[in-house]
Amino acid sequence: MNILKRLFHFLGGLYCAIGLIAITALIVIIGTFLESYTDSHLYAAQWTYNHPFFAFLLWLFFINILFSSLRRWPFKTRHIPFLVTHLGLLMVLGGTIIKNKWGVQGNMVVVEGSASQHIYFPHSYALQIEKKKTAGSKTNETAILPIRLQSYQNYQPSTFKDLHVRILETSPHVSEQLETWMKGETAWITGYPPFKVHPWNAFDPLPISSTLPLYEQTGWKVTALRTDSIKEAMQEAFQSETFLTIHFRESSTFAKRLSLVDALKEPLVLDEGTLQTTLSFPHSPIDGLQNPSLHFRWILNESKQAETFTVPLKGSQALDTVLESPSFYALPFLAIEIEKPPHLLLIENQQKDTWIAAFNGDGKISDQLLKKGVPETLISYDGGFGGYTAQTSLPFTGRVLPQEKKDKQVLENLALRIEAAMDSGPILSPPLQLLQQACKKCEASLAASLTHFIYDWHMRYSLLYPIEKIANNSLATVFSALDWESVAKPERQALLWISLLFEHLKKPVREGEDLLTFLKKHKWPLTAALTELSEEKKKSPYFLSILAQQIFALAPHLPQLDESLFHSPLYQAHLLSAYLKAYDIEYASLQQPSEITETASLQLEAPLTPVYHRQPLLSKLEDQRPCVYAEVKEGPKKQLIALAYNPFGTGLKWPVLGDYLIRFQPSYNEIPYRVRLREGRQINYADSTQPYSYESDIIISDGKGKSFPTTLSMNRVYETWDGYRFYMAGLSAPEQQAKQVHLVINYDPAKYFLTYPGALIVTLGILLLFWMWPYKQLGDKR
Amino acid sequence: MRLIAILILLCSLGSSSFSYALSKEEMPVSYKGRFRPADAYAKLWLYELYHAQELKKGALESKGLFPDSSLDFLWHLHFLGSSDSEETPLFWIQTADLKKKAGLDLLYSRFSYKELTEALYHNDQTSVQLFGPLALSQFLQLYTEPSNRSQTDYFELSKLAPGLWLGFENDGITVKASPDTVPWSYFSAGQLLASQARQNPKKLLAAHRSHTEELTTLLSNLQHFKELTGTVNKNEKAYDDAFQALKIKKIDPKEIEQNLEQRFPLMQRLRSAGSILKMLPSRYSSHEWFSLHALKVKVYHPVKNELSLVGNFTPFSDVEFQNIREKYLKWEHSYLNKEETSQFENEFWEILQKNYKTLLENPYQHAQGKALYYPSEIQLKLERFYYHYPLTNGLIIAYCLTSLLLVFALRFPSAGWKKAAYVALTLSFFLHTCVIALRCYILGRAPVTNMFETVLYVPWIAVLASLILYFFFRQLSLLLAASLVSICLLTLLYVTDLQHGLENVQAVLDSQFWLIIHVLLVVGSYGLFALGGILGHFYLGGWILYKKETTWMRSVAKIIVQTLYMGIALLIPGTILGGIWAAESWGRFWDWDPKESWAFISSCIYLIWIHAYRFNRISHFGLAVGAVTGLLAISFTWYGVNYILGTGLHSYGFGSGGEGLYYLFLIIELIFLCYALTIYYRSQNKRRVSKPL
Repeated sequence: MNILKRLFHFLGGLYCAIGLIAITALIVIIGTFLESYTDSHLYAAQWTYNHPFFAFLLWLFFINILFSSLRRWPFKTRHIPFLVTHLGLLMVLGGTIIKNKWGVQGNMVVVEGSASQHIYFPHSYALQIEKKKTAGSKTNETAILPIRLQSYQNYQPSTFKDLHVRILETSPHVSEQLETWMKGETAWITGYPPFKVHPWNAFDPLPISSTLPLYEQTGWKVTALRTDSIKEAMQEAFQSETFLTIHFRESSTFAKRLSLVDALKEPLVLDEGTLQTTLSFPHSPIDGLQNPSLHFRWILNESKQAETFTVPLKGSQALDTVLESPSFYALPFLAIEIEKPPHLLLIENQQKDTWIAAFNGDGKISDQLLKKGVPETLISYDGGFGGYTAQTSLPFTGRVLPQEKKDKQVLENLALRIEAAMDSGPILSPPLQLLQQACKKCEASLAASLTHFIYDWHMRYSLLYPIEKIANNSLATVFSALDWESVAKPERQALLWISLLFEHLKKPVREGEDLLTFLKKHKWPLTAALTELSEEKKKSPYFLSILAQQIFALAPHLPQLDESLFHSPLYQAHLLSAYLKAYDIEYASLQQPSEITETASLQLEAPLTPVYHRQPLLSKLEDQRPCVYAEVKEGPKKQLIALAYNPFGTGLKWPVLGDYLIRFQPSYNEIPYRVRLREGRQINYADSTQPYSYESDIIISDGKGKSFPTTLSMNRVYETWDGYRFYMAGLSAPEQQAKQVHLVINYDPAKYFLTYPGALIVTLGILLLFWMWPYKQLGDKR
Repeated sequence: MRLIAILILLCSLGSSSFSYALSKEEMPVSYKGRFRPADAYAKLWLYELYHAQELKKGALESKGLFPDSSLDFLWHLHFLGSSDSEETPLFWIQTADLKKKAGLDLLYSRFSYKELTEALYHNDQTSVQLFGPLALSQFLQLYTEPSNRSQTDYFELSKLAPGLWLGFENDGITVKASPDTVPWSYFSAGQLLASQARQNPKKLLAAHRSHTEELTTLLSNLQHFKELTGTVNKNEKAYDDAFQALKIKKIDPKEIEQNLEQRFPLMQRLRSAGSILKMLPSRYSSHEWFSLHALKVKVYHPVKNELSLVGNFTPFSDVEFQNIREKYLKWEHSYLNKEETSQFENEFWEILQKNYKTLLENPYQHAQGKALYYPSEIQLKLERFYYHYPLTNGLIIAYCLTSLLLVFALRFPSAGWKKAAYVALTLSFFLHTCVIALRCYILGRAPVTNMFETVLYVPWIAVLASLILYFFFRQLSLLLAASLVSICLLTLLYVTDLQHGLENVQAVLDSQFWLIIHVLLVVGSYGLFALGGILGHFYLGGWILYKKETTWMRSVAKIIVQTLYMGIALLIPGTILGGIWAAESWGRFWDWDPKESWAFISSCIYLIWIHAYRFNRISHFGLAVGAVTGLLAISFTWYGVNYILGTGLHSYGFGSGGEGLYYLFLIIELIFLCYALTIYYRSQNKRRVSKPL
């Protein structure tokens, strides 16, 4: 009894009080510094405010205050302030304890237009389980199963009677990575058997992992590599087994086929000249392949004159041979075709970024970079119950047409365009009028005749149409009907002079001599106008047109030529080409760059699987991502699954046992109110970004069909009749289109009869302590 | 509060010829969320880049300019642009580090636009030194963000420049790709920006923080300065060109109208008409004001098929708008031609003011349960007055004089000195009250929403408490302690660079009732504890001097008890009521937030001393030690939580700087305490009296 009495007096005594206050203050000081140092409130709280010892201290406080009051029994007037203060403190402490036990405090995140009935408890752990709807039910059933982060725990959701979940192991912090195409030593493309991933060093021979019918049932070579030499691997894949066929336009029969590797190794020596081949393959680790292209340099033996061509390998202009410098012939006289077995290359680097490159049968490349394997498109099968796949699509064409067919297509397009233009009945230039009259006589189409002639002329690779009869019959009849008499005499003379002059120009053009110096050397009278042309135009067909026009101007002053040529069938095409040339109508001026539309795409899918790596613990607990390894059982079916914590409960739910989806997330509770967000807004002070007010218009509806529209803002709370309070706690960034509002919802049964009155009583008590001057006498006595 | 403001007004009415009309210095300008008198605006604007509210005498003389005030200089920039002051040292750089990196003279602190752009954009060496850390911080920011869960270790810094990529290479951070524009073209791919960055990216980020902040501010200031082109407006020129091009093509007027509006939206053009001196309200969105240059914006008129001056975009009547424009154009014309402007200028201000008055009645911004009004004429006048005179410095002088008088009165005790000192303190206090009341009236709220305001408020409470306690104790040292508290804290205001302007309150704090209850109580307690702390020093100092308790010290100790009681009576209820505010407004009562925690710790410390004293465990000496240690705890609650811990929910007063000095202060205080304690124990031992501490 004596001991109990002494204990009572000690617990209610001054030294105990001072000791308690000091220890508590010390712990709180440590807590604030821990929080500042780790930037983690949770971390600090775990060692201080949330530690059981701290709770023990609070209980001691409670006892100390209680006993110290009781020790003053029987109470006297001078004890009133003391008692009032301590009563208030007891009430506040009691209120806090009751709220923790029976109150509700949680968060809700609502997006504009949506509604929610769930409040989340941050930093709590639970498994959300969703069952696939059966024939009887309309929607999927959902259950939330709170768990503890401890191994060997059994859980059984009450909603799904047969389901058992057993947590086998936990890990405090993991990093999640979504694997797609490459998983460990194997690579996956949905629909095909998995194949091997090879480690690869630059300049090794390229391994082939598999051959798959990826597109149009043709066998595609597929290579999966794990390497950091992305560029080298792509280049190697492009070069291997690739063949070039080189056509010379002038002689349609000659073609040379050789492997790309050989062509790159040493120049190709032919009778007329030498062809050098180089491959440019610029690759940036960020933007991927940029304008890969093949470059050809053709050097004529006689003149050492060089022409360069480029064949782009990627994009819409791919595989069109393009002249690098302007020429009198708008098209290069080389046509290059590439041939290679179609190849698909999958590469993963150390940082787990994935490159996918496809090379089609024409050597055309399309590639894609998938950062950290995160897919551009995610496909869920059967709402996730069938799993997820990542999809990528590479712009892709099957084999393109051979050059000849391609040209024909271009021609048809041209004819169509001319016909369309003719419909509006334009005023035609004289050479076209001439041709039109002839066409009328023979009932031929002007557009078809013109395009055929121009193409034929162009393919002759000659300044004017050669002096020969045209091969095409229908054209020949049209040409025989040309009425040259309708052309004025000076113009006819001019045409003859053009024919003569261009005959002389043939050689210098072929040998690449500068035409202007050639003309100057031969005392051409009108070089001034030609000199003024830009460098580019000086080398283009336009230069010759100007020259022809100059002859038109000079013709009246020139000696007469024999006009009988106009009746010779051999000369019809030749002279018409001269006439057209003077009006700058030829292939080069009519043609538009052709564009091949990407007709198809190569769709590839890979199953999506998460992989978790254990990470060192973070000091900021809020950012930590725990992981559980669970066994899910239903009857005889059993499956093991690893799940990483999803702090906002917004990520993918993973399929398990075929009928269930599961996600590791914060626990939530259903409240009897449903909150729908109509609008969230931030009102700023005038002309600034400083917020004046955060507001959200919400509709709160209860289960009985009653709704209360209201507006929440910081410092303006909505409280339902039964004590649920809705607070606006946060608003998503102003840039975001659909605003997201973060609400805090709480229900505190004790606040009106314990916490708040307690707080007021403490305040009153302290004022009384001061006002009633209870210690005055004591102080004076001293 | 209003009463006091009216009192001040009455005083000024009596003293000077008070006219109700606003002068041109008092006309409202929209700046940083408030409408301020033009004069105050000009001072704040200049301070932003120049770090002084007025230009140095003769700063612009070489350019043939003699602006009388910052406002004059601003009008010069408004009309003529910044091109003729590009070589004037206008941009303040604080740290030697930045000057060193930019290759600037360390002996100067202000530099010209030209010098700075040279260093920033035209010199590859300094440019890399300046922008390298900036890019690095941006990168580390992205890298250390919690949203970077997948630990991506390279990023495009599109905020700085699209196409600028940084990434880790082994442990170092290198440039992966850089765009072709200066200054980024000085960086090459593969260039190492930091080595050994992997281990502690946050530390590295913190190390670059001050550089980044300073440079970012400087860059935006330079940009802003460059955009001041006076009456020449690039956008308007582009608009005119576009119109001419369309007109030549003989396009249908309807289409021209559509095309022009699509490419050059009118609101956009009004907004970009000028970036300084925004003095014209808009009728479309009342919180947005436009520069006077907006009056000259042209719009396409489809019927006439030509450009004409923009129609009325203000909330004023059309007639008035035309009138305002006419007057403004006259003024501008005379200004540009260097003619006598005052007549046109006055006419313009007169009519603008007349129209401004019509806006005052209705709020310009509504929100749930509150609304914002334009400042009244009196508020504008008072605000100009507030900025025009160095009021807080005046307070320091007043308190210094008072202290001097008090020291005299203590040294040579006579009724005359005593009276004089008391009157001086009362006068200083009155002045102090006026300053605080002025702030309250201008801002329409309690004066305790940021660090500056609390530092102004705490000494006021201390002096108030001392004046009240003086009635009971008649002890001059009490008054001296209070005026010392004032001098210390107000000098702190003077030497530190706290946000001194009159600013808006954060949305979170915008609750008049709770703000007054909670913050005034808690911060008020700081004043009492500061008073108690200084008195504690007196007591301990007395012990060091006399090595025993004198009667003077006894009376001082008695006051200490009272200050601690009063402080606790404010602090604990204030903290608890803060909890109720939190519970009412945010749904939680107590969360162990650092500010709350330290309020709790301070309360605990005072409670320990008070309990110990109350139950006779310590004597007056212990109480004085308690008052001093308590003051240290309070100083940490006040300064340390915001500036040293820098975390938590009470984030409205966070800042940095001064840590070193604060630690020095703590160490000096501790040495003082130890010294006093040794003296105390020695004297106790000599007397061999075992008295409680």
